[in-house]
Amino acid sequence: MTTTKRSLITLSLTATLALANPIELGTVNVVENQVSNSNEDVAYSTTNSVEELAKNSLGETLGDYLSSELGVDSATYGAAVGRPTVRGMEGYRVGIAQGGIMLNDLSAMSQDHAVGLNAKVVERIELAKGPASLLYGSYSGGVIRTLGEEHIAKLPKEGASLDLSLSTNSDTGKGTKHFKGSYATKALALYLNYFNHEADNYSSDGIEVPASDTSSEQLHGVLEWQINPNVLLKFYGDRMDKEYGIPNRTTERTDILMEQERYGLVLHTKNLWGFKNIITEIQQSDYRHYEREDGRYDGLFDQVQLSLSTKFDFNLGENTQAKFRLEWIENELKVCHEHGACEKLSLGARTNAINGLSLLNYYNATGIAYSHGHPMPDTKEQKLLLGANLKHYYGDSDEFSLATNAVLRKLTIDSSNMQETWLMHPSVDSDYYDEESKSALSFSLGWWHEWSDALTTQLSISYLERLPSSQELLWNGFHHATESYILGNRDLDKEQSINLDLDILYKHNDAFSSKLSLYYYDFKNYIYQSPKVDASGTPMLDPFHLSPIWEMRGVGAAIYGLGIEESYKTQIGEHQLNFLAQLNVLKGELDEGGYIPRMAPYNATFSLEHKVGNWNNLISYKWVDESRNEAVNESHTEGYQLLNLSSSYTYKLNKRSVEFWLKGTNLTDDIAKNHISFLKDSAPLQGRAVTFGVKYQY
Amino acid sequence: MKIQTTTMALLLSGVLLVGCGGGGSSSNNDNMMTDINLPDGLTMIFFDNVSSKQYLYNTDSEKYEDMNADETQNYDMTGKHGKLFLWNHESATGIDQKIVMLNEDFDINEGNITHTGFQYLGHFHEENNEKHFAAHSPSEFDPDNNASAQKLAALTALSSTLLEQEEIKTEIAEALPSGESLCNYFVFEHEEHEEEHEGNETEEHHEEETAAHIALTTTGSVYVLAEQNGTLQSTQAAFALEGVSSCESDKSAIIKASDHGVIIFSAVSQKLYLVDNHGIDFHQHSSWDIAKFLPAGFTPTTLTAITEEGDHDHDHY
Repeated sequence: MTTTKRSLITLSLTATLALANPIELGTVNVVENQVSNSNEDVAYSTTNSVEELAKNSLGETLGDYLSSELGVDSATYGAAVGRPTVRGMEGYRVGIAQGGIMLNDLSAMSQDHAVGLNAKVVERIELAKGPASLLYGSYSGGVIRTLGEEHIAKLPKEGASLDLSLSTNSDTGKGTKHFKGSYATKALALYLNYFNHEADNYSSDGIEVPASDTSSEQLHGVLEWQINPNVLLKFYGDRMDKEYGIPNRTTERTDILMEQERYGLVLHTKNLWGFKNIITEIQQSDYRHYEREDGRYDGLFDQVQLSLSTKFDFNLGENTQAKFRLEWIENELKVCHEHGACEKLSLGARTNAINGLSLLNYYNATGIAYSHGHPMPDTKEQKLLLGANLKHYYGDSDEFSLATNAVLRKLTIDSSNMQETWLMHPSVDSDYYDEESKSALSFSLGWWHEWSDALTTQLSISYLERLPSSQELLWNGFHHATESYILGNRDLDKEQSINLDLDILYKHNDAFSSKLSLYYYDFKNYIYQSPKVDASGTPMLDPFHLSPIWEMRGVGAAIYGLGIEESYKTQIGEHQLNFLAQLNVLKGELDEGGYIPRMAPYNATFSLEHKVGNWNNLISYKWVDESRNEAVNESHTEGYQLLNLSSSYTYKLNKRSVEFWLKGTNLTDDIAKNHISFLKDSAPLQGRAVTFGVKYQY
Repeated sequence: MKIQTTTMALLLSGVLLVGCGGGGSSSNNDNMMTDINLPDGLTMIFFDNVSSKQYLYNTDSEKYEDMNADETQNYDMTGKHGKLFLWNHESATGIDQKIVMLNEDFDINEGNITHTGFQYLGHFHEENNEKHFAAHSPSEFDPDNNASAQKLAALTALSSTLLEQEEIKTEIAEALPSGESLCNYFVFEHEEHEEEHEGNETEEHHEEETAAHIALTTTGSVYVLAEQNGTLQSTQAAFALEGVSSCESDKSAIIKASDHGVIIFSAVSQKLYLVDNHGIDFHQHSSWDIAKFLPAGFTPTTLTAITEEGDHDHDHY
């Protein structure tokens, strides 16, 4: 961190602290703390507690936790990896944030990379879309905000609290350990959250899936200081380690060693100069992952991120509220890819040889600037983001939203890591390594209307611009995990889309409600990886590894679909029954004809929750259709069904409770290939398994 | 560093109180492998023609041995100079890989090799699953010293091989594009495969694709050539080795690593480069710093190696 940056951060914090004098408080609406269940309302953002999401989750990844939400799927291929996809949007089109800061990992770049976060170490997860999401960035699929203890604007309850849980899985032979505890006085608190997940290879159809094991642990700690009734300071540290296999087709074991450290400070100020709910955060994080094959360190990605942000609410009038968020973020990515030579980062040797000679030779011989060096140069992105969201209420039945997000980005490219012979030759692309500054501007309009006590609708229309990532622009080389050659496109323009979202909630009565979610996203420049084909339409293979070439393209496309959710509750004596049915249908089409790859097949879920006394039981059945709308040269996946059953019993002893639970997943042992996974052909989902767990709360 | 190896007590003092001052990449990985991972089955001899130091390195055991440590051995090169040559000596029992330390000024074009043209002629014995290098002294091949007919015949065969190599070298040099000069080369042998067809149990012999010729030029570029329509032609885009912009024949080497790859040595970069083909094209697959597995300060100028598959019985002279 440079002295200038440190000074800026220190000055900003000091100013906020100094100015935040104690103020007598009125009623404050702290949005961060609200938990709104998605099937009881229509809203641009819904928040669920992690504990609730865990009950329905089939695994421990963020995707597992959210896949019961309407329109959400998980690009999972095992116990370790599962990045959520939302309404057909994947990768960079879905933002995953901690508080408001985008997660410092590489899961958006390629969904075979694990998300740099275990869901268990956060408290709540919010799904934001339309106007609500523009505060944090412009993402067609919206933003998934994970809210840790540091993002909650109050201290834990006074005294000590403790959650301890253990689980074991019949299939993988191992399980999870989770510890969460806090101790708080009126002014100070300490919070610790530790999660460990171990799993050996899982099985599908009775056959062990090689290299599907995982070992993951994360420790999250927060020190909290209520400086005065108006100001709360939270300092957090986090360390995550993960080692997981990649069940690809190689005969040698491929695995990833991942580690991440985060430190940050969050300053919550309730009121200052008429602004409310001010959250100022500084975060420094260091992410690193190694890609290994047969124990050799073939790849290394190191990403350091520094962010300074502030967010606040402001009342512009009696019926008009505004939210603002400003963020400065710097992200440095360093890359190594050389067989057995990526235990550490290094600089490419420089001699008097011609720069880019080998690449030029390939370009002249084949028309493609193939490279067998590091797949991309080191990059530094510096971004300034401004998000604003205005809400105006007309009576009790109408709410209008207008949101905007502006991004200014400076991308600096440093080719000193590249081997000289694989540098981009000037005669192929003369400005390949030039620094660039670009901007993106997005808008969203929303209208929430309550037509009657029974019928509520929410409509939003957004124009979104997304700057292509440095990987989309600059990657040119092999990707071990997915056994593919990725051909970036330095000339990609920003992705533009017009997104239309309509949610309709009809409450038949207090017990029965229906929800319909319709969406249509029209892209002018949809950026995606497409198999590169030759003139005869045959998929091309790279000359070094005979791997398929995936070319980064920006094309016109449309993604549209609907989600239907029926919710019914009833009480029979002491038995409470909650029935939920969901249907998700979506399609992704290219304007030039054909379909977008890795779109979630049609699927439906039926679940029945039963509560009586201290018992809580849940049975769910998920039907997933075969892949029908496949991209050219995309492999087909058969349909499958998942039958899951869980049951828990809770002993309550004064302030303590002990819960025993049993969860059976994929009880029919169906062979399930996840169509949205890059590894769908080699890594089916887990077969029948039973997990037993116990949880102690104090 | 695994969290489990730290205590929970360290959390406060370590994780929380360290703060955000530690910018940059600071990660260490205790699980880091230190294996060299050179291709298996190679026994290599490295020689520095300046200092005369000579080391043997086995890629399976990942151990090196100072070949000049015992002055009674014929292969001791202390105070001497030379150039290494791998001689695939064809005999009735198969191909016997021998290593010849030629005199540094020896030139086959000036006449056949005699006992005055080399420093030692060595080969490997296998005892207790370990390879042991042994060498004959030049004097054993001296006709005036009652050298056996077998030994003299061996020198004649060696001369033939050296002449053959000269012819191949000339052919490759002529096939290079204008502006490029040959520095070093390696030719994969023609391989004949026997294919058994199930059912009729007939055997069919056929030649594999034309053998690849790997050519390293004086500019450090690698060309891959093969015979097409009777002439050597380039089969893929030429490429350069990392950190190599020039090459001299006595400061480089190309040895066989497998049926699909070679190891190229450059004294300029002091690296080994595995150039192999596991797709369509040969390419630099990996590289190793010499200093990573040989003693610090040793800067070889050349090397040669025998491969596991060449471990046939050899002739005893």
